[in-house]
Amino acid sequence: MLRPAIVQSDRTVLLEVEHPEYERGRDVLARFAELERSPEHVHTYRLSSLALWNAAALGVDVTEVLDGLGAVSRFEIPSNVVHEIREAFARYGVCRIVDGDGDALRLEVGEPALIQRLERDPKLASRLQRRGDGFDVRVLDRGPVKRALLGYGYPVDDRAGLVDGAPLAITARLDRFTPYAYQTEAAAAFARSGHGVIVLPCGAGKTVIGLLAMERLATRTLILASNREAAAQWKRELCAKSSLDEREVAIYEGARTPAIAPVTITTYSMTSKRGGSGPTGFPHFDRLAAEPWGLVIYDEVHLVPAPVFQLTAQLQARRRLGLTATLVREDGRETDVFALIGPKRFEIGWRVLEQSGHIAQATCFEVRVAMSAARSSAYALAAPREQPAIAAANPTKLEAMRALVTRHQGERILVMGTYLEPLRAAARELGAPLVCGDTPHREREKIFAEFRSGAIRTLLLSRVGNFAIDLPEASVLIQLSGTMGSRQEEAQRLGRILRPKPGGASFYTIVSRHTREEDFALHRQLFLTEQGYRFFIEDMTALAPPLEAAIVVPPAAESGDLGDPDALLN
Amino acid sequence: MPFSTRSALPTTWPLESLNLELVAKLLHCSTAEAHTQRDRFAAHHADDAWLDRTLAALPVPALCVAAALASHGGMLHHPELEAHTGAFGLEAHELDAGVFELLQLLLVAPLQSPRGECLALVTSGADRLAARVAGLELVPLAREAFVADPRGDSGRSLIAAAMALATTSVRLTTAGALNRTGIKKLAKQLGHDADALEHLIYAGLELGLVSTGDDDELSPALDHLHAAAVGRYPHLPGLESLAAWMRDGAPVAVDAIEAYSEASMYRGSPTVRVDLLGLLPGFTAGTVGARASLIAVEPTGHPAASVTPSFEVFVPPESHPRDLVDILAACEVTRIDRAIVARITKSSVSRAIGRGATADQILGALAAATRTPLPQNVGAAIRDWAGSTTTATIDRGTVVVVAPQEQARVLAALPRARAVAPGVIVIPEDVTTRAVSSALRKLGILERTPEPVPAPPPVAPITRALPVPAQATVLRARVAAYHRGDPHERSLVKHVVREPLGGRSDRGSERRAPAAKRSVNVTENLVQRVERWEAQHAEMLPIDGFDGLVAVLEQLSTVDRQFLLAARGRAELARRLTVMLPRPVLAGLAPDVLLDLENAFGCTPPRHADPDRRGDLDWHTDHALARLEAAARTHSTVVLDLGTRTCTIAVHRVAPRGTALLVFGEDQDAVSHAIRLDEIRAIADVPPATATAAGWQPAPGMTPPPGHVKCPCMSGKRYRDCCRSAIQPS
Repeated sequence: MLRPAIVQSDRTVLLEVEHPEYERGRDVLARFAELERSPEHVHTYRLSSLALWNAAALGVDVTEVLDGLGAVSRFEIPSNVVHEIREAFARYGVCRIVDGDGDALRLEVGEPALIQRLERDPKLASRLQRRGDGFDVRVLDRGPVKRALLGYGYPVDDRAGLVDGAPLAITARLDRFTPYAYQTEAAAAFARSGHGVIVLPCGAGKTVIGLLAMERLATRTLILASNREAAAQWKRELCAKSSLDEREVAIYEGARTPAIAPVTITTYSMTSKRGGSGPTGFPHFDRLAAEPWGLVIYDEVHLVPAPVFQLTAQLQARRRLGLTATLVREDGRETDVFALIGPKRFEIGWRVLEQSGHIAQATCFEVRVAMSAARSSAYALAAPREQPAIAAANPTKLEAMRALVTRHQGERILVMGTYLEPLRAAARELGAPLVCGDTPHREREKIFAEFRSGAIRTLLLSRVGNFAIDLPEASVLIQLSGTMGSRQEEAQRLGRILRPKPGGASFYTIVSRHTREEDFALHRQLFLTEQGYRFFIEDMTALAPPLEAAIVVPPAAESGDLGDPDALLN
Repeated sequence: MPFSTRSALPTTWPLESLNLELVAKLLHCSTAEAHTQRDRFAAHHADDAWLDRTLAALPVPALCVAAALASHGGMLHHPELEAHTGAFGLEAHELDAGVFELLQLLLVAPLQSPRGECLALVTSGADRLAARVAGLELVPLAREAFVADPRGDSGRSLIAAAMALATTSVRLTTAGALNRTGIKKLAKQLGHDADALEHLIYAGLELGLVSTGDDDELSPALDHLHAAAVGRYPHLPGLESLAAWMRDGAPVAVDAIEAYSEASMYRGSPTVRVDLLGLLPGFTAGTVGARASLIAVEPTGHPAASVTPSFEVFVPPESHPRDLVDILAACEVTRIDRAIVARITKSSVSRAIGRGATADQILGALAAATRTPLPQNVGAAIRDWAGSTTTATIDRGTVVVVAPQEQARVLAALPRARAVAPGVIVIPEDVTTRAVSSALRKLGILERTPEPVPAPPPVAPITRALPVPAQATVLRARVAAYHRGDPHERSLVKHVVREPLGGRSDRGSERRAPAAKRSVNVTENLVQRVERWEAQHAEMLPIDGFDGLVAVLEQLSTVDRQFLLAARGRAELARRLTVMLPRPVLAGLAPDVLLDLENAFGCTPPRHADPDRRGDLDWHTDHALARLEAAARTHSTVVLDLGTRTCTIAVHRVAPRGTALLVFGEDQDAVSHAIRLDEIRAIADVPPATATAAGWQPAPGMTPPPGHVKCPCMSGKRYRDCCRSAIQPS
């Protein structure tokens, strides 16, 4: 019988899912290859250098990789792939950072040619002091040197000691919750090295993993979150599921409430605010960096902005944990994540958790609606930049939304969108509250609490709901519009309804026919289909559009002149 | 020399022209009996059953000699015969034995030409024999010893590379080369090496799997690709016939295929370059022992592709190449590798719709080629994209614009015409403009500014595979057995002592060429062809290379001319010229012409070795055909440089024999000559002393010329008004 995998010469491995030996192939490849896409029928793994180095870091050797590939591959492994695998493994361990004399670190380099190359590198000249067969490295330069060496194609085996930080007594309240096995496993995988990234689907309980990591390390912790709501959610979870009380967990919000506690939560935007005369030019970072943190947690690590990477380079002596659902960065900075935060230590697929019941079984639909002749005409005549707003404000979408809400009567429904006016019209139509950028923080928390309690069964959210809003009761999400073709946004929105629940979850995207929304929708679906979700296309073009007045669009938009479309966004 | 025109082969010898004394000598009988024997063999040669029985009993070397003669036009000089039978691995004694057997059956005739001894097939049995021994040079090797090239299935790569041109723009430059930027872009898209991809696309161009549009943009030739995917090449008859021979699955040595291909070129159905065969679906390159070999197997596979909901398509190697073409017709190729990876996109579906496919056809093709069900979202998207595609039909035809009130009358007069707008009528392209003009004239409508519509190139329909005669297959198996050392086959070979072949033609039976008129047509066609080609390709020729190229074309045979004119780009033309220039026929090109060619195309033509041979004459290396035809019209005598010697002949006619042009004439000893045009390196007029030789007398036994032709004494008068009275007193 033919074997299940085909190794391509670009270092991808195609694994047939329906093959009887699929599971064996998956288990072999998971040791040293990165699962890139897992749609139905064929999964794509990549033998990337990062994946091979991660495997090397876990003790896998080149023979095991080649034997494993040979065992599952249908054809002979392409010779270039064999060569490149050997080369990647040969490079791992060439550079090693260890503790040096006194405060300095020592960079040991196993290749004379590389030593010469590093000596001549003007960017590294100020950071490396040649001594013997290696270099002395200042503690502050640990991150930049690792990053530069990764740029050369040499991963650094960082064996220098990590600062323990000030101790903090923290225990998980196991009387209130029981962590899933994969959560414990992920926390253990991280704790073994003290730095790395955990990749889990939305709704899989990454906060719990953070909590378990804190418990294992028992040290003061700085948590960087994507926004204030996420910060509040972290605080709420930690207080509810650990021995920490309200006073021990603080949200750092700059000048307003410069609170610092044993566990401090802040946002990326706060950390990367410039000003002051501190050593880095980022006053809040300087203020926080002075604290004796033993662990830094990066929530939604795929969102870390560039300045934070720069600052993270200076936190290399602290233990670092990255958490994300989608290690996909449109800016291609995955290598920075690898070099500065750490390699991927644990990953589990969306569909795997769905099948095991740890996240809800989701069914995705793309609902296509027609546009009125007048709107189609306005759309056709509008400038390309204005067209998405016109398509998003298609009143027929409200008809489709109403039909879907009726279909899911009794369930908790989230309606999300990017453009505010259609969302406001939908809120009026449904008589439900809308949370957007203008909504005060306190009011947001009140509305979310009412939704969780069931007092509100339908809630509308603008882009503020894209990340880290924990509304586990929601089982239906209707997406009225999205930000162009962002795959990440699609995945994150789906994540809002993935907490396990009976009956599963339904995810709808309403798209205006014959507009660029179709193309954007297709692009946005890619991430989820690559994760193994099936999309169904539902045709609601027979729905009659209501009166155009149902959505109050600024007059300029109707005339084809929308002014600045960003003004319509939140 | 009385070469027959009754055979499909260019040079065969009529049995009835075989000298009876020679027949008697060959058959060891009396001259009186020879006549009867000759008639008896003539009857045998026309009898298929006799021929089958005879060939079945003949030793293999005799079959090989017959095959070599049939493959090279019917006649070979002895050194040529030795060279061509070398492809069969025959040693000298085996060759002699083979010739002996054929002579005993009067299947071949021994002849004597100015170049020496030669052997020609006898007309009465030539065609039947040629059909039975065709393809014998493709000696089957041991199948179990074949080791396939580990580089993998390049046929699929070739198909995928050709199909990828549907979505990525690659053009030919003005010099006729592939645009390097486009190739690099495509290579990046496909994750393929740019040089390897360029090689594949050049191969696709040469094999007709890639076509060029009006703007020199390359695109896949879908009809040909569909046929190639099942191992069929109806647009390349030579290759089709080669594939038919090799379809038994036995490996054949590359040098044997090269010999077959060379012979095919002279048969007028050239195959492709042998190094390209390994790239084609249906052919696999490999080795038998240390010999480079090819094996032809019908492409196989089963529905094994997968379409994912993320619109990706994976086509693993076990898929049938036909599925690959069907799938890629509606996809964008993203990777050519072990598994071909493609993506279904709106634009790729739109392109397929634009080519005339429907959503159902696309979905049907995908469903038939995949082993898993099509995802619902993919099916819905394809239907949706197909529905939203606006198509335009571009067609060729004659457009007639008349006053709207005249439209009905015109439509009635031209039944297949259709009105596309008031007064605008389109007539199918196969209706000639002359017919349209005539119809309009009959209606009393005056024609204004007629413009001829260029006819599109004919599309070769996919026909049934060329049948291989059963008898030929049996003979081929015997050749293979002989080469394996089969004792029975070896025992059939007799040991003979070779004697000079020594035949002479019966000059009295020579007939005047009925093909004299045909040679004029050939010339006219050539002129038209060069003019047409010049109009199409003038931009790709360097200015200083044009005259040189024309000079080359004039010297070449039809097949070679076609080979050159089929070049699709300047680089390809240069490559083909480099192949052509070492040929003897071009060795007589003037040095300045060669220099021009060298400068223009970077070719390195051969130089003349012995200028002294030509003597002090006014030699011309250009317009050989025109000069000889002019000489034939006036029965003039010219001196020909034949490479190793010169020959002075009175030219009677220049006539085609198959694909070769032969110059017929008589030398001063009244010996008839038939000289292939491509043997002639240079032509000179006869020096006055020779030309004006007075007191001309016919050679003994020679029939005097008819009275109305110019007198052989070169006086310029008619024969009846000049020497006839002295030679044939009334």
